[in-house]
Formats: sequence, structure tokens, C-alpha cells
Amino acid sequence: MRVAEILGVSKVFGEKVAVKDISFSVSERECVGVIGLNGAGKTTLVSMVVGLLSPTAGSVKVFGKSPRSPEVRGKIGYLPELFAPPPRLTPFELVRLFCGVLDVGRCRAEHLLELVGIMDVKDKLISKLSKGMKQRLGIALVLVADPSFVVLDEPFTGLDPLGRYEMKEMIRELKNRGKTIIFSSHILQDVDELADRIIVMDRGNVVYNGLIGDFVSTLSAESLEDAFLKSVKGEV
Amino acid sequence: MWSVLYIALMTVKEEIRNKVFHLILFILVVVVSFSLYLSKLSVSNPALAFGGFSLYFVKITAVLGVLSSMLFGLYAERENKTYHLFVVQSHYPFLYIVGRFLGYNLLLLLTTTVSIASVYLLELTLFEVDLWSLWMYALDIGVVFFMISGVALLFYTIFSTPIISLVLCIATFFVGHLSTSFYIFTSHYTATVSRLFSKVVYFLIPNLSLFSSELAILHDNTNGVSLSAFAYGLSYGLTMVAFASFVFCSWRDY
Repeated sequence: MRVAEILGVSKVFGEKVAVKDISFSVSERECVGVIGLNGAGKTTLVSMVVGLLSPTAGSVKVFGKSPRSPEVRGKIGYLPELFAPPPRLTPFELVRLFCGVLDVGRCRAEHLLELVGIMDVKDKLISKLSKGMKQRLGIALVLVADPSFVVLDEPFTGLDPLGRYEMKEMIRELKNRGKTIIFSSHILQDVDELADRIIVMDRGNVVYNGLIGDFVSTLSAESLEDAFLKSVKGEV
Repeated sequence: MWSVLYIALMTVKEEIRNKVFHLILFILVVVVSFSLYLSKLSVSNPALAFGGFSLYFVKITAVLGVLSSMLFGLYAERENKTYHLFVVQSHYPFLYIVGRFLGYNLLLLLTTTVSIASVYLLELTLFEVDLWSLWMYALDIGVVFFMISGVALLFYTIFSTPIISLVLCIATFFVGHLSTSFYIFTSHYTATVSRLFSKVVYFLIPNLSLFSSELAILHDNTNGVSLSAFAYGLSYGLTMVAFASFVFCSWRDY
């Protein structure tokens, strides 16, 4: 079953073409990593997938419908890049708020905070939490409505090695729970470890869409990083 | 519906912990003290003068203070993308701005109630006057904020910077208090176009002159706000919120 279908999508901001005629699909339980340099169009692409941006041309379908339709919204979980939760609430209050907002019958706030490992700071103000803890709180918010499709925009940005490790563990946990995942990242090592498939973007175009192993072997490279560098330098 | 209440209550909780709100409370203490000083200088009844001056200063400080908090808070969330989580995951994203709107209205009611309670107690202890009508005018300030925050919400959905929205809101707040005078002045226009234009402006701008309770207190008039004025205020505010929700849902890009 196809969870997301992106057909001939382009996005133009004034004179700047951020994304050019992109098409791909994501199947159920798949974990897709979107990689590319700064300004390649990764955030624009994931923002269109979750319905935050409207495509200038083409169409985005999630579960066969527009991502902005009320039926679909409840099935999507989204964590934006550089997530900055309200500083004057506590993690527990924020998760409870989301339970209310998303109309979740039984709020599992404590269970979710336990799951992402921030139960011990549940009553601390968010302004006092570290960047890594805020990202983990973000994942808890993503899981509030138990969505089947999870989109994470640069989830590793600004995290220290321990934070990165924990975030990877959480994404693995989401995979184990059968979620369909799209995440964008600069950190190729993490993408290599987590993604079933990659989409390589360069200046608004998709230059590769497929398995990591095929990408590496096609470019006669030694690693994903090596292949990516060859790809963006045009050595192919 | 519950989601609106959740967002509203969390908004109040967040703002009570905000230093800006503490600053507003401090300014309210200063202006009430200043009113006391002015009432001593007044040649009229000092108790009524204190009530009138306090009400006037409380209205200006509370309405403009909470309005600024509301606009800067909403735009900050837009800047740091917090609201993206609500917009993507919530079934009906416009409930997010309606919840925020309701939350700031509750905050204003709370601020006004605390301020008026202080003024009422001061009236009782210093002047030995039971000026119960002050309580009625707390609602009056609430209606003014309901209308002006509805306008602010609409501006939020139209303009991308908080400063433009805030300046336009403050202008609307002051012009709105001159609404009736403006209508009387323009009724003398003879040209049809000018008269039509002035009528359109009159109906677009909130008529806040219906809620100038501080003058009523000064003249010992305890009739309060009329039911029709109250209904007008609520309808105007709700219309603004409905327009704002419609514009918010129509945004191409969030």
C-alpha cells in the first residue's frame, strides 16, 4: 500500500525554484531518508508532504487524499526542524495539551514521556531542558495520536553524540512499531544506519531515488558519504 | 470544542509564568496608585474620581498590554514553527488560533478582575464607599478586549510582522473610541460618496465608544453597558474570529 504519493511536484518562492518536478512514492512501513546539501529543497519537500506548503505544480497525496484533509491530518506525525516547544510549559503539560488538541480519548502522557526517556523531568519548565530533551519531547508529541505516517525534518540537528544516538534509537523504535517514516538529514552515517531507501536532492532536483547499496555501487564509491560527494560534485 | 478550551487554558498558564505579564501587573499597580494621587487633586468627588481614573488606566494598560503579549506570542510561535505541530496533526487547525484568542481573553478577564478588586477594596477602605458598579465595568473592558483581539487575530492572519499588526490594532483601539463622534461629524456631509464612505468606515471599525465606562463612573451613572451594546460587541468579535479562521485555513503556505 502506498502511504504517500508525490507526482510532478514543484515549489517556487518568488523567483526561486525550491523544488523542481519531483515524483516518488513511499510504501507502508518503509523508512525513507532524504539527503542533500543546505538549500537542496529537503525542508520544502517534507513541508509539502505534510501539507504545510502547497505545491506550485503537481500533487501530493497521503493515504490517497490531500495531506490537508481532516481525515489524513490525524494519521500524520510531524517534527519540524529546530523544534522549539513553548518554554513556559512543562513536558507533562505540553503532552496533555496535545492529547486535548488532537482529541485523543485516553491520554498516555506519562507512558509517552517514559518511552522517550524524559519522565524524570516531566515537571520541569521546557526552557530548562537541553536540546536533546526537547527533541525527545518532540517525538513524544509526534506519538500522541499514534500516527501511522511519521515525518521528521532534520531530527539530528544540534544534537550531541549521545542525543544523536538516542534519537536514532527512537527512530528504530518507530520502525519496529511499523510506522512509515520519512526523515531528512545532513548526517549521512545516520541515514545509512536507519533508511531503507534514500532520496538524494540537489538544487531542487531528485538526483537519486533508491536503495543505498545501489547508489554506492553505481557510483563505484566506498560509502554513502563518498557516493553522495561524488554525486553533488558531478563526478558521475 | 475541547481542544479550544485546552489551548485557552494552557495559554493562560503560559502567560501567567511570563515576565511580560508580571510587568503588566506591576504597571497596573503604578497606574492605580497614580489614580489615587490624581483623585486627591480632583475638585470633584474623590471616590468617584478615583474609580473613573483607575478604570480608565486599567482599561488602557490591561487591554494594550495583553494585546501586545497576544500578538508577539502568536508571531513568535510562527517564527519558531511551534504551531506547525498543531497545524499538521490537528484535524481542524483553525482551532489553534481560536484557542489562543480565547486564552488571551481569559487572561484579560483575570487581569481586569484582579485590578478592579484592588480598586474596589481601596474604595472601601480609603473612601468608605461601596462602588459595586465597578464590577459591572470589568465586563465592559472584557467586551472591548474581545472586539479588539478579534481585530488583532484577523491582522495576524493577514500581516507577516507583529509590529504592523500591533500598530494597526492600537490605531483601531483609539479610533474605535471616537466612532460615535465620527458618525455625528460625517452625518453633516452632503455628498453621497463621502457619506457612503464614512458609513462604511463607521461599520467596519469597532464602535468602542459604547463601552466608555470610566466616564459613566465619574458621573455616578451606574446603568452599565446596555444589552444591545453587549450583543453588538460579542457579534463583532465573533465575526472577526470567523474571518480570521477563514483566512488562516486559506493560507497556501504555513
